[in-house]
Amino acid sequence: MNDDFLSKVDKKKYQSEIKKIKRQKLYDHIIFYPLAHIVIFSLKFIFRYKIKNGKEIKEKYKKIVKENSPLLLCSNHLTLIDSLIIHMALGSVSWYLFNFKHFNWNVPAIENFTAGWFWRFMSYAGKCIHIDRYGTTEHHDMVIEKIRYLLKDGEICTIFPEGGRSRTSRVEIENTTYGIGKIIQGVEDCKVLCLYLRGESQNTYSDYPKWGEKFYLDLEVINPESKNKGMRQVRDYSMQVVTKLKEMEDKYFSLINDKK
Amino acid sequence: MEDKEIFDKIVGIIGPFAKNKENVANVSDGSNILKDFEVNSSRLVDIILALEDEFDIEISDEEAEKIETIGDAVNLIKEKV
Repeated sequence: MNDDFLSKVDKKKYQSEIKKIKRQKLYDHIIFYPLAHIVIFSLKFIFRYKIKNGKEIKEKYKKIVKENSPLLLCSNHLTLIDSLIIHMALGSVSWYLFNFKHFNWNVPAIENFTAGWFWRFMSYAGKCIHIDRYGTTEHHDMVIEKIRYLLKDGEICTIFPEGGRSRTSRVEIENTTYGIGKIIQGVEDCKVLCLYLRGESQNTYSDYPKWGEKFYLDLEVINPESKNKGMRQVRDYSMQVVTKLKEMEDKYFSLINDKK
Repeated sequence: MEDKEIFDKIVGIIGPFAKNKENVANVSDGSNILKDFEVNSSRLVDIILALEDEFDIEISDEEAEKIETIGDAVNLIKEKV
C-alpha cells in the first residue's frame, strides 16, 4: 500500500469505505445473473448491438486477465453506455458469473447515482464507485484509494482517461486526466489494458449508439514505465496510456481507409 | 528576480491551459487559477511542472496543493529562486 498517499485520506473512513465495497461486491454477485441477462438481452436483441469478432475478443480478454494482474482497463469514451458495451464484449454472462473479479468496476460521475432510483440501483448493482468530478481533493483521493484497493485485490476497474466523452469524437490527448497515473503509481507492477471501442457509424460523441450498431473493439496491454518520480511520473504514466489509445485509434482509421 | 517578472512568466505559462482567456487578460494577484481561468486539476499539474522547468525549482506535492491564486504562485517561486 502506498502509505504516503493513504496518509492523506482518513484511515477510519478508508476502512469503512472498503467494508462497503466488499458488501457491494457480495450483493452485486448475488443479483448479477438475472440482472445481467436482462441487460445483455436488451443490448443484443432490442438495441441490436453487435460486436465484430466477438468470440475472438472474449478469448483474448480471458487470456489477458489470466496473464496480467493487477490490471487497470482504460478506454476511449464516446457514448454514455460504453461501459455496458465493454461488459457485453469482453465476456458472457455465465463466464462472468464464475469469474466475477473480471466483471470490471466502473467509476461513473455521481450524477448517475442521483438521477433517480433506477440508475442508482443499476449503478450499485453494476459494480460502480461514484465520483464527484467537482468534489474535494479528499474525495478524489479516496476514490483513487478505493480503485487501488480493488486492483490489488485482483479486480479490474475501467477508467476513461479523457475524463468524459470526447467532444471531437477522437482521442483527445490534451484532455488526459492524471487520476489514472496516480492509480498506477500506487499499485506495484500495474498493467493497463487499453481498449479502443467505436461503433461503425459513430461520427461524433452521443448519449447512445445508433440502433443496430456494430462495434469495432481492440485490446492491447501495456506496462507503463517512468524513471521520474512524483507528479512527473503520474503524468508519464497517464500520457503513455492515452498515447496508446491514440495509436489504436489511428490503426482503426487506417483499417477503415484501407477498406475504402 | 522581480515580482513583476515572475508574475508575467506565470501568466504566460498558464495562458495556454486556461479555458477562460478573458479572465487571463484581466489577471491579478488574487485570480484563482482553477476557478477564474477554468483550469482543471490535471492541467494544474502541467502548470506546476512547467513552473518547475521555467524557474529551475522543485515544488513538492504539499506546496502545489497550497497554490490557489497567482499571488500564491508568485510568493512560492520568489522563496525558491
